[in-house]
Amino acid sequence: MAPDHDTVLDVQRISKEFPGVKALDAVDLKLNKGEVHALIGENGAGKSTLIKILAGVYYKDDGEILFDGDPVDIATPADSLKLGIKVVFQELSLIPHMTVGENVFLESFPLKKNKSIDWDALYAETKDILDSIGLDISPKTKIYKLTVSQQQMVEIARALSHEAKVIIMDEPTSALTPNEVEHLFKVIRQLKERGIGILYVTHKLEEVMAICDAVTVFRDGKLISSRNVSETSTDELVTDMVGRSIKTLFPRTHTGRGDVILNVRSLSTEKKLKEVSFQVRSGEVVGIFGLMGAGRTELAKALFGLDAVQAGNISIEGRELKLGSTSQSTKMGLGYLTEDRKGEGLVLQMSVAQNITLPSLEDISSAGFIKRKEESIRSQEFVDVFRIKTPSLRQKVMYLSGGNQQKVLIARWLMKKLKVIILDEPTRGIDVGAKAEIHRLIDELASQGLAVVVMTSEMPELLGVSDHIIVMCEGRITGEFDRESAAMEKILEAAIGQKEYRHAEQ
Amino acid sequence: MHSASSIPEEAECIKWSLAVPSTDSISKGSFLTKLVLFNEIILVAVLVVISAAISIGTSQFYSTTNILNILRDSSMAIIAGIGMTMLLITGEVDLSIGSLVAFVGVVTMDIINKTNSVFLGVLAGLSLGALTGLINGLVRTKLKVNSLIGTIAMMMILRGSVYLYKLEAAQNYHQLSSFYSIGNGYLGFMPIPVIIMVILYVVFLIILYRTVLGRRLYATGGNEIAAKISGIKVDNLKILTFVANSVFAAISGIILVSRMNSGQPNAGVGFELMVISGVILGGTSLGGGEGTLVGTLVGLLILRVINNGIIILRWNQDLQIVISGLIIILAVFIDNKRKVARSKIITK
Amino acid sequence: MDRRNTVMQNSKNEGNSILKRVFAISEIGLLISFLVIFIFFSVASKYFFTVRNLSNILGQVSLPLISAVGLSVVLFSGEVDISIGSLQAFVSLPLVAIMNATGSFALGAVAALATGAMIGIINGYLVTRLKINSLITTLGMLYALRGAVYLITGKVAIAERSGKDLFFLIGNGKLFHFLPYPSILMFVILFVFMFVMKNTSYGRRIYAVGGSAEVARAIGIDVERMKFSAFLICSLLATVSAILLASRLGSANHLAGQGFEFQVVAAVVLGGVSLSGGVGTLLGAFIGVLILGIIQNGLGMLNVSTMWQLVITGSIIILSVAIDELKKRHE
Repeated sequence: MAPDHDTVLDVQRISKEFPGVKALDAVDLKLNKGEVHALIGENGAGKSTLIKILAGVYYKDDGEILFDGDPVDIATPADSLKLGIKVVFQELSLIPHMTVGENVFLESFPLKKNKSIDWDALYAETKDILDSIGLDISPKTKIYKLTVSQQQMVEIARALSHEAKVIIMDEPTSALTPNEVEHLFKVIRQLKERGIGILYVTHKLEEVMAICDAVTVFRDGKLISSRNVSETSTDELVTDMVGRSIKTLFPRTHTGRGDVILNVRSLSTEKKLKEVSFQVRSGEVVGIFGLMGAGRTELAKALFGLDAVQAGNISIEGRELKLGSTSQSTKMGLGYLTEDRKGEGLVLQMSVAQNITLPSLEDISSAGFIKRKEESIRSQEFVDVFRIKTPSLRQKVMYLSGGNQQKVLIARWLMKKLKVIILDEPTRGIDVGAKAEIHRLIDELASQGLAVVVMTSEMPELLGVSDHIIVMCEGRITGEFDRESAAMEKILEAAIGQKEYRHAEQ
Repeated sequence: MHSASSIPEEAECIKWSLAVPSTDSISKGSFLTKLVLFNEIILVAVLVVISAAISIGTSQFYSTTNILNILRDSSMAIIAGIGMTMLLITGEVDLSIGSLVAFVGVVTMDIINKTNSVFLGVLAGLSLGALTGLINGLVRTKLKVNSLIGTIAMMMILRGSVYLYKLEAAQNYHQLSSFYSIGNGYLGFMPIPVIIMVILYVVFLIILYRTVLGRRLYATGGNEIAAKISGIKVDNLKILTFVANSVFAAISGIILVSRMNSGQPNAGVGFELMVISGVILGGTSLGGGEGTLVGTLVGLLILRVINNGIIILRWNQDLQIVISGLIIILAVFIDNKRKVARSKIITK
Repeated sequence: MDRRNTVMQNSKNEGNSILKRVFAISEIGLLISFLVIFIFFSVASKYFFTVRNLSNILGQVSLPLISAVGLSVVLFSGEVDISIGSLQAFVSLPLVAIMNATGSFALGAVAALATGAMIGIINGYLVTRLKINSLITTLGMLYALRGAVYLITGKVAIAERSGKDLFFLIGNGKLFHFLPYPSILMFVILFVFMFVMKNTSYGRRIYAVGGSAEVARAIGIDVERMKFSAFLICSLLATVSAILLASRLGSANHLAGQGFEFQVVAAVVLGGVSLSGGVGTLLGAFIGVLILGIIQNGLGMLNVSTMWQLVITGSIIILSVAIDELKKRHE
């Protein structure tokens, strides 16, 4: 193809290899001025690596990068920034104890004549940028005081603080409310008009169809396809991503529902929850939906005893649960799969077997001594049944992929004779292929008679997996739906607090 | 400048979990590579090399008397090392054990003097240790004070308290022979301190590796929240470990006072640093969740052997301090290199 | 640009209550503690609140404070340096040796500073290039330097024989019979660094590096160079303290600085500097050192034995950190 004056970024045959992995294999990519170009693909497909090469975090093994038609060498983050490439990373890259203004101008502070920082100018300009993207906070606020969605917007503000020619956004909406997403799209359209090229990395195909002009699919480090969005469909993209078509993402075998196992009555906490009440039956999957800040994780933590409870009570199979004690919760048959599996779920230095058996040590020990053989046998069962990809039971969990790590966590809870299991965002950050497997496991949990509570912010997952849906907003339950009566619009209305849908019968 | 070749990059690649490519396992690597990866093997090699070097320098080294001296000398550090290893595994640290050793020594001797009972004296010493550990544990878990700062403060408090208790050394007025034998006696040809050390070592080796309690210690240090979610009572466990650590230090203190035959208020200065150095040399991580007693044993032995070598080679004793310092740095450097090498092999 | 005026206008309106502004300073809790303790000792002992004693206090805290400034910079950057105590003894060797040999204080000081710089460079290299944990590196350095001092001096203090007035004055003299020279140096260093840390790109980036090194790196900040510079600064400032100390002692003493590093660490943590990096201010560190300083002095005035002082100081440290933690949890 002839060189295009509209092409701001031209990536040619880029390859990158890590010990044992070919992360990128002769990949091409063209980004035009004013174009929003989506990069999609499963985890590990190579999108992250390409982004990091463009950002100067990694260095390419092979290939050329042309910026505005000229070949460039991006060896460090500084090189990338100098060219005008700004990255809004997925893992928030803000300094928590510094202010919004400081973070926005960290790369290059506005200086006075005597080389000291011009704080007035800094905060004024920051306020300008914040206003332009609709973020109404004081630029002097310290980052740790902001909500996750606000932080994400500050990241975007930072990308706008200097002359940017290319902005790379890595999962920019993962923590945003629908309103904020709309606002972001507005900002993106403004950026397009300014001629800025945007690389948009996402898992959410709806967004690709909504805001992007072109879409490139990666799989296993290779470029699979590159099309205009107007010429393709979600199904086609999924097929490209996975290499096969996925018919059912959410298999549910409907088993009969039994008695009420979990009964939550008027649960209230100091900070967020207000009189939350609901019930879950044996064999039932209750999906809890809510936007950021609705209180889902707070609910999970309160149920499990990680957080203090002010009022209300919880009973499991009719027996009252002692609140605020995690050891009591596990004794009574409660399990909790945290949202942050690496930070709160797995002990990364421990092996697969050790992680699986961690809450069940008493079951595989006698007189305080662990029975090694039994530990191996029991964990091997799970590795086999769940198809956990690991070289051995003794492999340290930190070396497994995200999907397999999640399977280890689910195996952990299945090993205990649980009555209730709470799963907080069980498929976040997991690729499409592994997602389906996790949903199958959720179904398996329910058919074994557990009361399953799934917290999710992904609508398709919610609708597909739940028997009963609960919507939360600002710490209260604002909507309850059965699988049949659930509709996306109603759920969203309840989630933003616009309307309340209460079920007459429990 | 190329990121590809710098060490943190490779570690980063694991961190940002790219697809795990194949199920080629580390077990396919040769036996030798597996061996090299074992921290302890390298350390033992270092110990052997150093010992050999010293033996060449003087025939005095490789004699039964000298070896027993080294063992007896090391027993105090190793006993304290057992406790410190467990504490570091849970992610905490205790810098007050040096001052505690002095305090326990003085108190033990004093009580024996006053009651003429070795049993009561030892009991007093151990209780003091337990109490100190309990306070350290509560300061950490209830007051949420970082254990580094908290135990530095405790170190000051204890050091001041020793002198408040007794300004000069507590001399041995009771002359009880059972007291003397704690530090200086023999059972057969084995010095008693060594026997105490071996018993404690074996018992806690089993506890750490085979029991539920040991597994929970590793989990607590590895990921405290994950441990909590798994139903582990993290606070109680930490308090228990602090207490154990201080009791071990107290035992060392009692052995020391028996050997020195008087309770010196200025004893144990720098003891904590030496023990921590040896434990870290042995492969225990400062961040928690990792560590082995075998490593600690060899690590401390290396430090003590060097010390012994310097003495019998008649080198300036202060050289020991310099060498200890350099060794610690070298140890962690090697450990870093090994961690990276290990991650490289596993992803092949 | 009228936006800028509006912003300034707004902040003026908000802050027109001076009281409000004062309470917004994060070190206010510390200041109050300081005042309380100060008043307590002034009331409890008639010798405390005297010109002579206050002047002594200023002189006494100058040494730890100058080192505290350097240590704080290292802590802000996310590392730690516990070799500063042994450094006190080590750099006094070239100081006194050169002074005795050449009769020139200037030359001796230069030699000392060069030695201190070298130690800072070694620390910086080990931590940033060889990637060795800074606690371990400086712990090893603590050992190595102390041992070296013992070896070189044979555990005997080396007296300063050149009889230089300047050398004596710098540690013991007072301006107008009130302001000890060390304290003047202390204030100068403190204000310079307070400005740098608060108002220059360098200063803010040190905090960023300590707050999150990965983020800082991704932004293009040379994390290694920043940390390296912090170690250099710390060692140089510790050397300044060492020169003052040697002046006070009149000799290069092999025991100089023992336990110093822990006292300084405790003082700055008391002052709100976080051990994990990226948090704290030099003003806070200053107050922390002051508080420990007046406690030591005050207890001495009350004839409390040094032993009780140790006990009380330790307890205060625990208490203040506990209270600070409580505050943090309520945010």
